[in-house]
Amino acid sequence: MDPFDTFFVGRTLNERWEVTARRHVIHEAPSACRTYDASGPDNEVVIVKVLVPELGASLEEQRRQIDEFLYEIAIVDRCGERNLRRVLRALDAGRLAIPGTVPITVHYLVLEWADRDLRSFQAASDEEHLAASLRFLHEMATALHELHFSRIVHQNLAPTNVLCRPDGRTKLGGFSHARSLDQPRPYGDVPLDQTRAPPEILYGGTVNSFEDRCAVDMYHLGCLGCYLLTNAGTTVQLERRLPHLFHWTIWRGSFADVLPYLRVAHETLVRELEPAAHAMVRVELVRGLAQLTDPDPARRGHPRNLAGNGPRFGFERYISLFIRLARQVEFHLLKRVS
Amino acid sequence: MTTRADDGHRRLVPRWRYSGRTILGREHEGDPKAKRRSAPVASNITALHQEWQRAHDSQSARELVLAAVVEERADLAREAAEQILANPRETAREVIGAARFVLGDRAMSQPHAAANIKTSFEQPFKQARRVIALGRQGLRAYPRNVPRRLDVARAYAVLGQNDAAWREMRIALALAPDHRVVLRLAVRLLVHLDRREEAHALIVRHPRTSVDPWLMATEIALATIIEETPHSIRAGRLVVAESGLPSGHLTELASSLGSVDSGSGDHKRARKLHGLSLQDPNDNVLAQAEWLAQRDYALRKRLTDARIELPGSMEAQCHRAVSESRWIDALGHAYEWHHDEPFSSRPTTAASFIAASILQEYTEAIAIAKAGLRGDPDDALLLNNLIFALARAGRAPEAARHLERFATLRRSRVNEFVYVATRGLVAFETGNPAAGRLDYMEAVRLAQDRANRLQVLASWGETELHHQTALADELYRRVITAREGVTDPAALAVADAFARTYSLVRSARALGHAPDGLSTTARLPISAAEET
Repeated sequence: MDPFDTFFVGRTLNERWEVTARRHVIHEAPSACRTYDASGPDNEVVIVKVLVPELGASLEEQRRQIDEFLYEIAIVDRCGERNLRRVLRALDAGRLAIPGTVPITVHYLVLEWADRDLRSFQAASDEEHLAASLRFLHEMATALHELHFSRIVHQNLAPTNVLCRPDGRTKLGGFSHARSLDQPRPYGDVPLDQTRAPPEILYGGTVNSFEDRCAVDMYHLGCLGCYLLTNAGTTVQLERRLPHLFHWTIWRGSFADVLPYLRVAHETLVRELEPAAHAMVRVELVRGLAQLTDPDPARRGHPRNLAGNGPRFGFERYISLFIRLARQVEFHLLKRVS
Repeated sequence: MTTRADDGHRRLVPRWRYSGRTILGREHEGDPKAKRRSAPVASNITALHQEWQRAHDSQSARELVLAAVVEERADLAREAAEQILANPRETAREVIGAARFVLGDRAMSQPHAAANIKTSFEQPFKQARRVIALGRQGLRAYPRNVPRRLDVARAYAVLGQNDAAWREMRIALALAPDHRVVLRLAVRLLVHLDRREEAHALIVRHPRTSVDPWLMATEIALATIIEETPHSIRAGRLVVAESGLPSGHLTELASSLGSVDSGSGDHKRARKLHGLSLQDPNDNVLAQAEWLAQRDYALRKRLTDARIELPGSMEAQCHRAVSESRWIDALGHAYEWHHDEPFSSRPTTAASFIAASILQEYTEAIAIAKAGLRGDPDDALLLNNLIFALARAGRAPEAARHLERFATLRRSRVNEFVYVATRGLVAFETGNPAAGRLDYMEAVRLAQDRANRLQVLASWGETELHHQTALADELYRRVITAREGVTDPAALAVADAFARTYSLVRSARALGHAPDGLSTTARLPISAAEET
């Protein structure tokens, strides 16, 4: 425990939330946040996300961090206002003054409790894992659909942000990269994590419009599907299958020039993904994931949406697909038990 | 007589291989002038590394290894990768693959591994059929896979199904209309289909050609093929002189410009450009240099000193072996070259020439010529070589049949003296020596330079020797005389082959094994003066 933890643990925030312990979470760069466990007035457990000022940072940088954090709070609040059921709810937010020679103010956000994230999920059998994975995909597709409908893009769907609640529900958290169409981010987009960034971003493409950002969310959903099947995201698998010459860290050309090679890597990836999917759902699931992770954002998504039937980056068809497949596997499991 | 390994020209038309065997080089890099654009992404690998050092569990090891693959930071993740590989049963297959990748085991095969080829001539065609079958199946599921479409187009070209090849290429062009490699391969196919003007028009009107050294090189090569003034000469010279691009990106452009300068007699500038082109060449440029070195002593010396070895340089090795008169090696390299570019008639022309005229392996010459004709049944050079080999192998009726068809073809790539000499040979073999001799005399007259004349005389001598006529001795003497001053290794080798056969027959006759049909008193119907 560092001095800040010593100071913070045991405090009561807003006369309601008593901080009990620090929670070990790797926050994605760039982030100056920490996470703590806390308990509420009715003994309910909550998570407190705190922006700890970096003492070595410049005033501008500190200002930026505070503004970004306040923006995140505003987005989570908005999700709560719109009653988005698959988004982790904000219970409170505020600030705490730390007295001293140089008084410091820390901002915090109290979120509803989640036991664990997707990385620690384990199932008893492959079929149960598949059923749960399809449920996760369905929940996340629905969460993204709800967010897009509320003119918000998430931009950071990752296993660490898929949070499992004690009641068995799965919710989407981690809104540090989110962006509302109605209210631009004060300092532009937060850089995405390289290990999950879609190819158009890795290869120096620009993401300007709301649609571009929806395409990123769509890629992240497919990436999550790949992770659930193989324990590795799509970007990792793509880069591993590319000749070194085309690795994004050394590529100098345009995205269009590298796209044919990315396509070959993507096709190989999809072919090798097939054995990882259960035969019961293989064809439809792998086809869906291939569409979601298409390296070309102009071709990403369902072909019918591409053809103009429905919103360009609509998730409706995937929501239906994942829930149908999940029920199919669950029915199979039930039949086996009975 | 057979025609030379080439028709006297070699242009830097892009090399075309299956995607799995493509040698990835500078050509496949993106824009050489562009700076690497920084992607708006953040790295978490340091945090993941710290977490793994703290926890040392499988989850943190996995996350670190996966991040290391994307971020190319194998240095940070080696130990984590070893930890994963120590318990492979508990780890997903993809993560094991990533761990191996971090430890240096690239999942993909190295594409530039040149095949060791000494198999049947049928093998490239079998391979082409397999590529088409698998390719079409793959394209049904993934129709936008451009490299696969190019592979299928190439396979169709190998099988001589030119319309299908162009159809696939057109789709590839529509999918990646501005892609350098696709454009160059489209041009390569059009040249193969003898639609050279169309190929030039395609490349010349493309906006990328004005800025891309690789496309400029192709434009210059195509313009010289269709005997037009290249559009990119001026811009190309500027790029070579002032762009500051790495020499690997300028290699083809410098070689193309150098070839143009060689052709126009500006040897000083050509040498400089060839010097630049050989600083970081690809296999195509090396082949061009080796081909030019057959005629350019300075270039040959430079190549001999440099001894550049590149993967996939079968053609260059073939030309080098020809320059050094290593004919068996040259034939072997020509076979490898044929397996590398089975749709091209150049390797089969070279191989059939060496096999028939120099090594006198007529059965092999027939086989390789027929293999080449499968890709392009109307290739005049190959057809000529096939007729020659058939006639020499004692299959005169078959040779005569092919000659009839040959007479109706456009023979712009075959020198007239070659055609006339071959006609003479067939006339001889079909029982009309008088007509044959007249044709040979005409061929000697038509042959413009000493090397060509030497080859005609040697071929004629061989025919007379084969028919045990009285003129063989006189032709032998004439060949010995004509040999002086000729430096072309191929012409000398043809003359030597005749001399060798002549000596063998002479020795056999001296030992009483051959009928005495040769007379030293016989005279040639034309004198040496008349020849010139």
